[in-house]
Amino acid sequence: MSHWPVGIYKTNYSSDEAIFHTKFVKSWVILFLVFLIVLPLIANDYILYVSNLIGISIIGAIGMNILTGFTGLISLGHAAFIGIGAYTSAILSTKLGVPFFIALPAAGLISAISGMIIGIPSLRVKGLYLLIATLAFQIIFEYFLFHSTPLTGGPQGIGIKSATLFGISFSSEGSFFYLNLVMVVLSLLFAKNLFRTNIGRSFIAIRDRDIAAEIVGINVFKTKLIAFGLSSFYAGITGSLWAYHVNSISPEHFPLWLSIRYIAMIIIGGLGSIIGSVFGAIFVIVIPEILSVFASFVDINPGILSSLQQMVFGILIIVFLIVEPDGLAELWKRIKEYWKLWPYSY
Amino acid sequence: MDEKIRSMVTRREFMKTTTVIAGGLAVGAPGILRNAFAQDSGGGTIKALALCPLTRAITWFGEAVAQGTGDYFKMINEQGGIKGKKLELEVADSQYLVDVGIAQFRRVMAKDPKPQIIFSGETGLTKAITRIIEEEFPGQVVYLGLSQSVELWAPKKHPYNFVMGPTYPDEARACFRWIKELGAKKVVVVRSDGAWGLDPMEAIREAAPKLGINIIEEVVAKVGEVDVTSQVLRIKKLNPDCVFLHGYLHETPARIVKTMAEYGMSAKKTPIVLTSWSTNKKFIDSAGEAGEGVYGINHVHYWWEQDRPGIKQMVDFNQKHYPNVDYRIVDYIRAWLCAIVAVEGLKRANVLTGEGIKSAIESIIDMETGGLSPKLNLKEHKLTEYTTLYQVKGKRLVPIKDVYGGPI
Repeated sequence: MSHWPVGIYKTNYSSDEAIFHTKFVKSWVILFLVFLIVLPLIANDYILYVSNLIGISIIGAIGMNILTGFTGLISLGHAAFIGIGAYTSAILSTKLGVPFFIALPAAGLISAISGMIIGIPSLRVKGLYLLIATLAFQIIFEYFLFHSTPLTGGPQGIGIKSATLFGISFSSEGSFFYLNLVMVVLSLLFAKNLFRTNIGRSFIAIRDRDIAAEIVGINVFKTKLIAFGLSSFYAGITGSLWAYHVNSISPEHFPLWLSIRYIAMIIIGGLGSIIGSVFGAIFVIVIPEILSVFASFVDINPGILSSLQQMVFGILIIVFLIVEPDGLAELWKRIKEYWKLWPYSY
Repeated sequence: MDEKIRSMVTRREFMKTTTVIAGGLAVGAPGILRNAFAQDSGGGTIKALALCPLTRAITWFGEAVAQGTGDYFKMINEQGGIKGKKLELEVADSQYLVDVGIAQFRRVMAKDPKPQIIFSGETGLTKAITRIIEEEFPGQVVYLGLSQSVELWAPKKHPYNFVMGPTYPDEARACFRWIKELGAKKVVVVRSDGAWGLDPMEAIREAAPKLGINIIEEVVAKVGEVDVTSQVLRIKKLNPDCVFLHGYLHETPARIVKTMAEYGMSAKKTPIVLTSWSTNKKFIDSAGEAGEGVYGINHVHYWWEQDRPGIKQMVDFNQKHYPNVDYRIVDYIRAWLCAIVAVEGLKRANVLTGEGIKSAIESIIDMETGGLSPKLNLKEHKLTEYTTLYQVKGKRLVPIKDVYGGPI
């Protein structure tokens, strides 16, 4: 059948469990992956850098969405967890000579452990109170970075060599793109499957009504800690990839602003949506870049021009949120629904 | 009607068409974008990039860098350019974010011709870009950084980087030499709690004992701290001979100076010495009467010192092109000085490559700037080790003398 099915008709469990339900969607995904594989061969370093930034941000945004979008726990400590991942990789790599393939998961694990410790108060505090608790963690983290010079390099930070795997160095934007692509695909697949499991469903149950979730037998405390752990694991991987990408990290790479940017990504993309994390990361990274490319052709005062760019970016966010308060993911869903029934859409 | 639509385009045809178009666009988009970047501004120009924060944070600094470098380039272009070539400055907004700054750098470097000189001023961004320059554009680009962080000053490690000023340790040593001349033995250091505030501390701890000065305590106050009473009470209790402040813009020092005056420690009674980023007109305006007698340093002279030919030239240019402008902040003058170095490097370069410009800039020794700054010596990849000492008198910063900030 080449047409789009009007309903979901499945005759076995495997087709029911499939992530992509039709050949049409599968073809698009394959085509997109082929495009991504070809991209480093045809794009310049600027486009590849922006693509790498998007990839890294997607992983971070998924982590943020697991905690905030799916479990309903608001955190301002995401930048700190990203920082922990970055510093773990940098310290392991430079001081202990640990190779990339160990330093990367180690960064995720250390971040996850930190996240679970910080998540302990989440049973008692939630909403704005949890926000303040995680904000406090961000401040402590920054203080620690500045004052633990033997470990973190203090204000000067740490220089880190590019990632190498099986003798291949990922120092150029193009080579790093492939490494990043693999990590993004793995992150997406894990997250997509997570919400088809008991644990993932428990996250959603807690978000919707934690008391009800407890009544149906979900261990709220344990589940919240797992959410913190998983979210921080993603953040750790994000930080590690960032450190290996820029080759030098210092405290100013992980300001509070970074956490706010990730919150913006998941709100714009769609809370509680994996594809929303992807859309949000793309939107927040790409729109300002597109605006600066256009701006480079305009000959007016650079200060005014940059302010205008920021205003346009802000207006675009407002417009998108007015058009679809549930984020770009919902907008995407509506567009798909429209074309599914086209030309008989209503 | 439905039949008509169906006969016009079938679902299969539609899907095929959209797939082909979207696939084509997806594959072709980078090529289209790449062509958009490959805009040639001609072989008759020398390109430079000012990568500075124009939105989000410290925008006044970014705007001053863009304006100051741009104006000096404009003046040189009016005089015929350099070796028959016009100077072209592209300005990009780093938003004071490392990732955004790298993206902007990448965007400009993807164009052809590439800039050969980069003006910037953020420590974290400088480190990230330095790595890219050294690995991907060796011998093609020279980086003139307005950050005075000592970690960026490493001529052997980062051969294409030049620090556009004395480093923070140089500034601190110059201040402490003056503190010694004042006869102070017990000094309280007030600093911000971050990379900036910590930058010269190692040098201070090393230099002070050699000068016979005892740092009795380091008092920490955050940048922009509103209530500094607890810090001032601590200073009062310690009863120092002199107070040295570093790691601030004008607001915090102004508050500290005012609060100190309220607690009976006026600058005339207890000397107060500021480093360069606090020594400006905004400090004088904010501190008011309490600011009288405060010492400060800077490696450029101020807008009102128009008896100096270098400053006069800048003021004349502004009066000619911007008749409504009657004052420029000191950061504009710093940027103007940066552009002086770039232009001198371009003039001296045998070949207009990054390598040629770098060697030419390194050859700048004892260069006069018409009194706009102390003599420039760029052999060691920083502007100078001298700074001018100022004192606030009659709500003006009045120069006293140039002070050496090199090792003790």
